[in-house]
Amino acid sequence: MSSIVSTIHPKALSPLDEALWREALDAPETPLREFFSRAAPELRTAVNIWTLIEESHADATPALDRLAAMPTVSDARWFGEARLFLNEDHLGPYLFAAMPTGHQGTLHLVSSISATDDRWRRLHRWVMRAVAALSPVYLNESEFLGLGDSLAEHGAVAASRLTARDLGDGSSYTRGWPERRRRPRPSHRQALAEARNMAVRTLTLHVGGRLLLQLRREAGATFYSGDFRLFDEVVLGGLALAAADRRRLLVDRERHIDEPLPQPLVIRTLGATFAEPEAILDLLDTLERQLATGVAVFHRNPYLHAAVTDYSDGSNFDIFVHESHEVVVIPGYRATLRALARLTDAVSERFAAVEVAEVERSAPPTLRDFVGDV
Amino acid sequence: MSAAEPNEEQVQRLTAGFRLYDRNVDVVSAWELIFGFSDTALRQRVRHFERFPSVVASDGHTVTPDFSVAFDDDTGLVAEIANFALEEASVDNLCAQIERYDSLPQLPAGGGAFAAASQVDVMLLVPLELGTAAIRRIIHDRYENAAHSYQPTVAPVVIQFTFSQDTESYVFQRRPDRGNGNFRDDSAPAEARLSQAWFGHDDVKVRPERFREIKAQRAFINDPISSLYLATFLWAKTFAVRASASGEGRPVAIEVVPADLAEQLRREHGVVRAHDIESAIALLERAKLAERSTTGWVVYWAELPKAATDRDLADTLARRSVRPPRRSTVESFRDQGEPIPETQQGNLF
Repeated sequence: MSSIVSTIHPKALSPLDEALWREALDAPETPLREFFSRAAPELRTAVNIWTLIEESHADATPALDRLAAMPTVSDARWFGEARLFLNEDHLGPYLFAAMPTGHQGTLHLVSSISATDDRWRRLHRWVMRAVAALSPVYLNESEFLGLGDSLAEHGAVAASRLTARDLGDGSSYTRGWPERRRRPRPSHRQALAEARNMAVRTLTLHVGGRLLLQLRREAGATFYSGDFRLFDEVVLGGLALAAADRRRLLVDRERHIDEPLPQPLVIRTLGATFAEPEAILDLLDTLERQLATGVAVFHRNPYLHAAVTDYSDGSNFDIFVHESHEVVVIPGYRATLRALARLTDAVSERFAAVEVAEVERSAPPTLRDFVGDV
Repeated sequence: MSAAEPNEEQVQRLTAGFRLYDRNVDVVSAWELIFGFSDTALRQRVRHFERFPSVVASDGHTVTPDFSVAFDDDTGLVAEIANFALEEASVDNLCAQIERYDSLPQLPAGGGAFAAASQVDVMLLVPLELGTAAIRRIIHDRYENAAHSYQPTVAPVVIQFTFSQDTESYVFQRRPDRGNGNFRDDSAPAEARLSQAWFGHDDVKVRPERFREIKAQRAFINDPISSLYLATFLWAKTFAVRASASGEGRPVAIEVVPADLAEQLRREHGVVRAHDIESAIALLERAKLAERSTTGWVVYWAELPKAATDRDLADTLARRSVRPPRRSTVESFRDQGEPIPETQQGNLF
């Protein structure tokens, strides 16, 4: 059979993409993951995953329609419940797929192009800027470490590479651990423990000779080699579960007239992140510059109360900083999933948050909370 | 004096008014927490806490204290957060205002209803730096002076307050001076008495994190709203939501009928009056962000660029209202080719 040749450029699809596109012609009903389980190890191809949460509402064009609108997309096919998108650019044709996860409102974007490839970065930018229905998930620390813990049940987990951002000056940090007989590589937890005052971005792990992969704190992963089924079960399953939990936390949080205020959310960091005024200024700057949001400060000192407006869709939030390690978010009358995800992810990533959670309901204050030693 | 100095003073005056209003929102929210949401014997005595009271006094005037509490024994309390100036007239005005509270025949009981009040305590909340002056000028110079016109049935209860960095809380202290009023709650259980369990032996401290939901939800108090505060609120919230529905062109023309907008804010947060809206949008007009129309106003909303000296949106609006840019957002809107909403400005060209 002849290869699929781009009409723009004589280069062909990669072997995995070609096999995938060809198999889709037969309108298979098998899940896409079955294809990857078979083809990726056989063709020795890396598979790149990005897990996203979806909000369906009247204002947002459905995610698949917006993905199809990406300028490089020239064709699309179904593979079971997954949607394949054929792209063509000056580098040649390539595929990416939107694959259901089994959890409502979440999907994996899957591709054989590398996470460091310009084409993947272009897809990333498209989703972030032009697909309002989809949002990434900055994993909680426990979720990120939990993926490594789950892998450890299947073999010894050893970290060979870590990338991070220095929280102090924002510079990039890369650490590698070569394989040495006398000095074993650290586990995922040991590797993370070495990276204090860093926002860890990626961790490359070897799992007992069975699997080589990269985990990403922005819910995603790359399968390099080994047992794809193990990767699917533990990593893709774990990412999907974390994404589903995050979606449940963020969806339907906006206020409604004559209804009680929904429980606020909290972004928790370690240590006294926001103890200094400079850190508060940094927080406000992060919100404005990174997110194209507007910030209006109602109370600056000694606690912070600000209104944050997401200019992309008018969502607005009251944020409070009372404790030095927490930012509390109270959504307003408009608070889309996307805006809330953008806000919590940006603050989490910038300050290496441990988790995003709902503020625990506390008992009403008693007399002792007002009078005497409070 | 250079042209820049008066502008700077105007900006500082706007900013000071903003901060004062926000502080007062905190104070009212703290007491709404205590009277409305605490697990205390005091709260159990409360029939109704009203954040936006409007009551007809005995002389026919309508008064709007900063909050009111109707207790289940037909007694009540009203509060006023007072700032007064050095001038005697300023103190006289305050006393005339709170004298009416002393003899209110009824207090809000919720749902638009009123409950008869056999007695009303007046809680005068003053910032710490005015506590001593309040005792001297209100209690000693006026209440205890038989020749002065200020003659309520009992002395107001002067409560001074401040924010304590040590305890990270607002601290409220009943001034212990001779002559200061006290809460007439002898018939209530000791734990439920402001005069005993609350202010009897200690100060009342309220940590701001405890009332953040109240503050976010209610947002306003019964005083006239600082024009910069409301303009900032509207720009960041209400108008941003309206603008988002209109697509990507900027600026977005938003038609505002003050009474309708006030009603929307009443449903969403709390009492906002049409004249508050007028003052806020007049500030936006001075900032060349709005103009009058046949039905009220048209606001031209856009993401506003920050100057180097602006710390946030409130600073931007304050600066623009005092030193507006050469070009208005009306002109920017016209350049988009959009139809101009009907305005009172006869000739746009």
